[in-house]
Amino acid sequence: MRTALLFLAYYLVLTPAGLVLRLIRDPLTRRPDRRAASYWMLTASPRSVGSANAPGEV
Amino acid sequence: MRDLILGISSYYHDSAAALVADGVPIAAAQEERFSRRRHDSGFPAHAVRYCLGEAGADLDAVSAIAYYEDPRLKFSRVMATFAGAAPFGFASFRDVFPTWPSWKLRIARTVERRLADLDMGRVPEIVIRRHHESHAASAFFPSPYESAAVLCVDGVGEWATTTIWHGQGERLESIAELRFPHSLGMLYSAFTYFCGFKVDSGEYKLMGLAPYGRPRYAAQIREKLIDVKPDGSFRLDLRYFDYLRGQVMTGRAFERLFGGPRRVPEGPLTEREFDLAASVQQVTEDVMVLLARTARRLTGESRLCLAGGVALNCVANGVVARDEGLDELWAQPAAGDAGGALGAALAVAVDRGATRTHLGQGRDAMSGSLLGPAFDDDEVGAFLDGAGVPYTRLDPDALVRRVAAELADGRIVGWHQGRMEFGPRALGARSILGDPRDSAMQSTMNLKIKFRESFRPFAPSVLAADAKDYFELGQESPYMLLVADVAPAQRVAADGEGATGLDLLRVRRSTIPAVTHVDSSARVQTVTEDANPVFHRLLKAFKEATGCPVLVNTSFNVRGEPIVNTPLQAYACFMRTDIDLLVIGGFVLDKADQPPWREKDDWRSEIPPD
Repeated sequence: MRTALLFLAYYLVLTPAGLVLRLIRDPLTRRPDRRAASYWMLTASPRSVGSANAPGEV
Repeated sequence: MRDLILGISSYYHDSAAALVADGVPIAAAQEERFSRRRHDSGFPAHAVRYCLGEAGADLDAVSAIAYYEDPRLKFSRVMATFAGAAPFGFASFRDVFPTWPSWKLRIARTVERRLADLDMGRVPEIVIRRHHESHAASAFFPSPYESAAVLCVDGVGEWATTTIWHGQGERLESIAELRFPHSLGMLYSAFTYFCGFKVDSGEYKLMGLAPYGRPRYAAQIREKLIDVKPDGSFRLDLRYFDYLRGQVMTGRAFERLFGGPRRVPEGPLTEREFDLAASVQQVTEDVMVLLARTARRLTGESRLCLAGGVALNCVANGVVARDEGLDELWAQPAAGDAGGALGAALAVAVDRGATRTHLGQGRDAMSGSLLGPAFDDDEVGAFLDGAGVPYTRLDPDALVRRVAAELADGRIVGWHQGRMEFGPRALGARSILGDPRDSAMQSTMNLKIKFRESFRPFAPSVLAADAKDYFELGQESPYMLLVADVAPAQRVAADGEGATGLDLLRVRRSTIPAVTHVDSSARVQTVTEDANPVFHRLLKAFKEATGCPVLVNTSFNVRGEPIVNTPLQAYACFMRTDIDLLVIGGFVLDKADQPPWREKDDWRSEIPPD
């Protein structure tokens, strides 16, 4: 019974949601982007000093 | 009144508990040492009891519980992974999803209930810290540095897999991160799996295998599997990996790339595995160096603190330490998830106003990582007498002289002294020791003591003052987390005519062959009197007897079991193996005098292969 519920949740809810999400923006970003200069996500808060402030630059 | 914070890590890998008093670690231990289940990931009830007992406290005296990871955030990543893999991956979803609503999401409630079950008083508030923040806190706060760059690299926590922080005084600031599924730890684990070892415990075997091979797949790895930018940031190409949808790490595409299916566990090792190991090791080293450089550049610091599972790759740490521009490196001895318990507790303590009081004294706050239980001579005596076991009792000086003489005669010594180590390495508290100058010691210890494969080398402990004569180490390495080359003065011309594959290990390349790997490197522990006075005294006695200030130091356990904790466990390991002499505190036990050891069943079948 539980497996059946999980099955339904997986194929009727999760699968369509996942497919739609992947069309818009893949949250898992599965492939490299050879043209990008860096993959770092900067997390420093704005008030901190240094080059970490410059968005997109590392 | 001490401000006590109890940190807990559990439910994923290596459960542990750690107790911090006014910002100072006073007790810490992994649950596996008590439950005797390796990498035990269940709730660390024993470890919690031990930590509180060590402080003479119960939960009423604890201000807060710190948990090392945010389950809600982790759940969002798990769900995103399922959504991203659907419609493939139902099996994984079916197995994993139900555990979340039932208890994983409500970790605070689960932990609270388990703590209440201990009957040790009222459970204080439970504070959640993020996984990488816990790693970063464990790397920076106990370090001896006023300020430093901090780098944490692991498989994955909630979302972050690779994080850079800036530590200054009592402040720890997040600077940059990389996120799941792009993970250096996962990459290494994928190769671990593919080479037929167990994920999360076999990575270290892969690292030990690397010097046997040539990195002829490194270019392919960088071209197809991982794109590394000049600043060290990277992305994996997930088409080669299965961990997003399946229960295994690598898929068909990976097999095609490396010419065939994965090695079957326990199957024969071929040149391909040696070369794959060498290749992924080189790529890992390259990435770690770049990451470290970026961490230094973004923070303006020349000293680096490391934590996260990948910081257990001591070969890579050695390469990072030697990079120009890096003054010094400090790695948290419990760099994996067990250390998260300590880090979470430290982070909470600092939030509540604790200061890093050890800074003025030029040492770190880990107490040599000797933060586990000790057994005093009365307890040990009572146990031995109760078991009818013959022993000799010696005073401290006579003891080390006797042990040094036995070691110099080629005997193998089980050494159980003082407080147990926190972290995966034995550091001279629960160690098996041997003479490193003995060419046969490597094979002997492998086969007769560890009952394990013969390709893995042993590691040396050396008097800190003499380290530079034996190893090319530019700094201290108190926790055996740095690999360095054996000093040229100790190397001898290798006469390994025609030796290939695993036979290369038997070729003598130095005056300390038992601890020299096939590439003339060693995983070094530098021992100071301050950190471990008894072990230091033994090393000095050995040096006095032989002129050599180095000992083989391997963990006190047989393959597959956790390092021993109690005197009884030490005695069992002693009797199950060919260890010649057992030393527990002031007591010396000779194998020849022991009564026959009887056990029901084949104990070896009870320990799972690792």
